This record gives sequence, C-alpha cells and structure tokens, in this order.
Amino acid sequence: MSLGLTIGSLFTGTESFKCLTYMTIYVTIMPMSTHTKSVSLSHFLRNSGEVLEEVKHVDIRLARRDGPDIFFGTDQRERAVRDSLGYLARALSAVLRDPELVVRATPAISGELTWLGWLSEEDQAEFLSLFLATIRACEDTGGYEPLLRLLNRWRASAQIMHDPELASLLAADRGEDSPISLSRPKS
Amino acid sequence: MYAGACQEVYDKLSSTPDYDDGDRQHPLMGEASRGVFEGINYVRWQIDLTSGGRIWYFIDPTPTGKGQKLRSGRVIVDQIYPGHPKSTEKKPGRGRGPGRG
Repeated sequence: MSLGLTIGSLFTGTESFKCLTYMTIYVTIMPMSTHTKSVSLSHFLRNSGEVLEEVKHVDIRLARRDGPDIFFGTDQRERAVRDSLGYLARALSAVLRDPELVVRATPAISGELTWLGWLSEEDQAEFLSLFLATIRACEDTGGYEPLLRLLNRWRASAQIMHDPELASLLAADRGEDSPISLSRPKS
Repeated sequence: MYAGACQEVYDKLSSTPDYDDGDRQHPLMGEASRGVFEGINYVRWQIDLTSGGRIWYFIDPTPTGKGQKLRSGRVIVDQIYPGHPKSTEKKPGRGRGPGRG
C-alpha cells in the first residue's frame, strides 16, 4: 500500500486518480504478510512441522551461517506481491511515457529515494534514465530482480559519495601501479 | 576480519568476481564506478564486508599465463576500507593503500 501512496504523488489528472484508486484498493485487499520472522536452520530442522504451520500466517527467513538466507512463504502471498508489483510497475511505466510527466515526476522520485540527492546532477540523470528503462524491461519480462540490483548499485554508489571517509578514499592518490600477487589467506 | 571471512572474500574474488548478487557484491555506478589502473579505464566493483568495510576492485578479463596454465583474467584490488571497529578493539589503519594484485 505504501507503493500506491508514493505513485499517488505523481498523479494530478482525473484519469490518473481513477487509476490510483484502483491500485490502492487492489493492494489493500490482498492477504499480504506484514512482517517476516527469522528462524535458524537448526531450529527448522528440529521443529519443521511447527515452522511450516507458521508459514501459513507469516513469511519465514531461514538464517544460515554458510550461505544466503532462505525465504519461506506461501505461493499465494508471493503471487500477491509479484502481481501487485507488476500492476504498479505498469502504471508507473505508462505514466512516465509522457515526457511532461517525467519532468514533474523526477522531484517526487528523488524525494522517495533520499540517497539520490547524494549523487551529482549528472549521475542523478543517468540513474533516472536507467531506472525508467529497467522498469519497462521488468514490466515486459515480469521479473523485478534487475530493478532491485539497479537500486542496490546506485544506493551503494551514493553512500560512497556521501561519506567523507569513503569519498576521500575514492579520490586518494594510488601512487604507482605495482601489482602484487595475493595468495588465499590461511586459516 | 576473521580468517574464514578473508578466505570467503578471496574465493569470491578469484572465482566469481563479476557476480552481482544484488546485495553485497556488485558493480558501482556513476562517478564511483570509474577507475584507472596502468592507464586503462575499468568499472569499479564492490564487496561489502562486516562492520561497514568494503573492498573495491577492477576486473581485467585479459587472459594471462601461458600454455596449459592459462588463467582467465585477473582481479585488481583497488582499495580496502576496513570499516569501523568496535570500541573495544584496536583501530586498524584507515583504508590500506593501493593493494593491487
């Protein structure tokens, strides 16, 4: 529902308001989990029945030491999130095909992505161009991982520019380029 | 940074340096992405470490080595930022110099 409110700030015309109303209501009535519970792998192995019963009501993150966490959820909830994201992406993509609306939408998008202001104007423009293109591509393919990767990359880059230590390290003189081979660290 | 974590990072850099996991290992963008080594422009990648540390590196895909021991490219470590240690630990040196290799 928070995504629906964000897009609402871009809409001004009657047609757009109707679209927003539909989007907000659709997202509200879907049975979506509001939080994720984290359990360890060992707990799951000892109490799998109990955890699987909990998954009916709440998403579970299985924390592992030797690999990425695993996410458990019902297919119904996952489809609800994916379908909702798809509708929102299509709505945003349709709106942003209008060049005039792109100009008006840019401050709103920048407001929601607070780290965007840490980038130079040139980088902000590049981000917005890639952001729009990626949304359209995700809409076409139905997968949104490219959008998440894009946001992750740019957010990390903006954090560097914003942090005085990191920005200084980035700009530091490297001296002469003298390669040194590194071996695998020993235990 | 524990030895196991160092090994994990080394293994990532030596086997899958160009894998964007959407979280802790990915290329940088914009101004932060541009780097130069030996006069050649590269895209800068980042691996996030614990405690806010990070490693910046370039990927040179040029095959190196000869004959049967041909290696496919090299990873050039640009900078290492150790992050902020806990208050009970000694403070390490800030951002080691160009640890290129």
